[in-house]
Amino acid sequence: MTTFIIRRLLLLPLIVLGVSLIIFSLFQILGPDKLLAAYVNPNVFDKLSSEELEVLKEKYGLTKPFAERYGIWLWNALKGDLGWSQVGKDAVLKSILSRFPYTLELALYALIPVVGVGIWLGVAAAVHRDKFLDQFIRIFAIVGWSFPDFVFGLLILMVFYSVLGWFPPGTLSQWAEEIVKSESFHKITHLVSIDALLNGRLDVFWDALRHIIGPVITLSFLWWAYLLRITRSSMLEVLSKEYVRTARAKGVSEHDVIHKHAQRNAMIPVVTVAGNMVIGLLSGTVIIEVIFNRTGIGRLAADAAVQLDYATVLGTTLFYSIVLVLGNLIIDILYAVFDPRVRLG
Amino acid sequence: MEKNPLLSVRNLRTYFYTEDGVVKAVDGVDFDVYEGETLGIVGESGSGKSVTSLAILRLLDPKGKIEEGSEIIFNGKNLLTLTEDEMRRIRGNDIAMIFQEPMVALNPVFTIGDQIMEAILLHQDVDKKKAREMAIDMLRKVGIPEPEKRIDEYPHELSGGMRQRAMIAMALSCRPKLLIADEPTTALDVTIQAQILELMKELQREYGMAIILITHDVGVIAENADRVVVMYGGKVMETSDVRTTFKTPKHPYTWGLLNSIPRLDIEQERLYSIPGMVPDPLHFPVGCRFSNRCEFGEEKCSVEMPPLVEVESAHMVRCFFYHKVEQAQKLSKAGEGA
Repeated sequence: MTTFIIRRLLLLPLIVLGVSLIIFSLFQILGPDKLLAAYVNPNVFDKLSSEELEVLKEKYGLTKPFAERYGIWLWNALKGDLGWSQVGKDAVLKSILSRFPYTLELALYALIPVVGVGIWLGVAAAVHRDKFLDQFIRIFAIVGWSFPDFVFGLLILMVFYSVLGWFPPGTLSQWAEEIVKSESFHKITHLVSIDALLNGRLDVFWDALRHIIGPVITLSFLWWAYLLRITRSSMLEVLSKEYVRTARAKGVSEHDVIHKHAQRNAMIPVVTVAGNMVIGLLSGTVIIEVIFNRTGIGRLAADAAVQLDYATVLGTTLFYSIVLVLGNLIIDILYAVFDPRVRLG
Repeated sequence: MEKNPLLSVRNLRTYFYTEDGVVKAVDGVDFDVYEGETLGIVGESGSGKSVTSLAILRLLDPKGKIEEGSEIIFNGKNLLTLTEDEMRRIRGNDIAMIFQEPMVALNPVFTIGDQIMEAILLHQDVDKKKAREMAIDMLRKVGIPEPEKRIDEYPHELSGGMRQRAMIAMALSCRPKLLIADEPTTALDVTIQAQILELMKELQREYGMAIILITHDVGVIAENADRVVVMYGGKVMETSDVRTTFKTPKHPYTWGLLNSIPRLDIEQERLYSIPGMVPDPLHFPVGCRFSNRCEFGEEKCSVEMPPLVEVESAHMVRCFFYHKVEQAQKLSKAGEGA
């Protein structure tokens, strides 16, 4: 197990290197002027004279051959300097780190309804196969599955914000934002809602919650569908297995047959799907962030790509690959936890 | 052995309501099991023998229904009138079951210890520590070496024979009065088969339980059962004690089954096989269900279902022309002698 984890972690730098090389070479179609933006603080960029720009181009080796330029970028990246983000109006690393807590917060809030309820609905559908509940859940799933996320997100916004006024878009209200930014508000976890609780500000907590419910409902409805379908079919397969009959023949109650003997086995394929969903959530959900006007890592990456802000694109891509490798590692470990037949190695 | 039977199955009819029609998997089956004896149920796949065993424990899948008028009397109680809760207290406790494929009949994500202890904890008033001791004792009893270690292993870590031993340990952990063994050795190597059957016999002697041994293997029945029920097309075709049935079969189907066993003592050019195929249970022949494959049949057979009649003491046969089988037998015996 330990050697497995170490081996997988050793892969991480290789993957990061490969990904960065690809993105870096793609961006070389840009001229030196555009590339320079990555090395200059965006707040002073426009004020520089053309002579000063020439000096800077020379300094950062933008006129040098590709291999040398990549070498310079890599060396700086290793020192933790990923350059300047034009979109983030700050250093790339800082831009990413300042947005990640918002993404993480949304992911954590969406995790319980998406994964928990998705699995629960899938099990319920399988147990009541072909009965009314099953049909109902399946129709619900097909609707969710075929709904485009931007349409559903807008609908939620229309109903719960425009009509009912319950769940506003954004991350926080103006007044709450000011409290969070004030000196007296201690940032402990950087997750707004949790920090609000730790600071004893229930009003801020409630405000953060109101802003996060809309995106959570949207994500849940769209992602349940997939998870519950996987869970349902996996559960149906397991319920027809002989060991389920063995359990019944032992006198195990129907509740334990389903939730202990069958569900434990049915979860094995679900782990992969649920794990990939969590990876997706942690990588940011661009459309949700745009519709609900939330700060987040998905939007940072999308804006950067649109504006050819290559330092930020490189930074967020590296971030994604790290999340992906670590996420998959955790999925594999969970896999072995759920299925004793799987030996990691 | 003329005591009250431990289990009496009377007019058991189990129908499956499928989209294509009603499958009469078991259609009016009667038999008794006495304390401490082994009853063999033999028949081809599709004869209804497994459905019968599942019906006794009421473990049929939802499409299968036990029809009105069927009776399964166990220890004086009709199991078909019990509530689901009462039934659960009988399963694994008074009546236990072992299945064909120990590979798939044990839950892969729990250790064999967990699975044996679960049965003990469900039916006996003991704590976990005691249950674990009892499980280790059971594993030792079924001949698993180092039971203290093996108890924490998962099914995939054991060999096929060891798994079936663990399965038996689980089934016998609550000392059932009746053990239903559905093809318990079919999936095992021949050498392991003999060991497992021997083990079952030993434990039967020790615990005094009755066994229903279900198999398509006539040889297994001949060696291990006291009495035999021959099933075909959801009906009992012949029943008697093992010696009588196998020495002097009276039903053409039993006769066919016995002839299709390879014999080393006489020279055979080709092994006999019963002509035709097992009929589709949706379209059983009218009259006797074996009529379309029977060598001795006459017109009457495809019109009327013969009744199950007692032709000798405790020897029941469902055939109009059973004396033809007797004659054929005499002829073939004479042929062998010549």
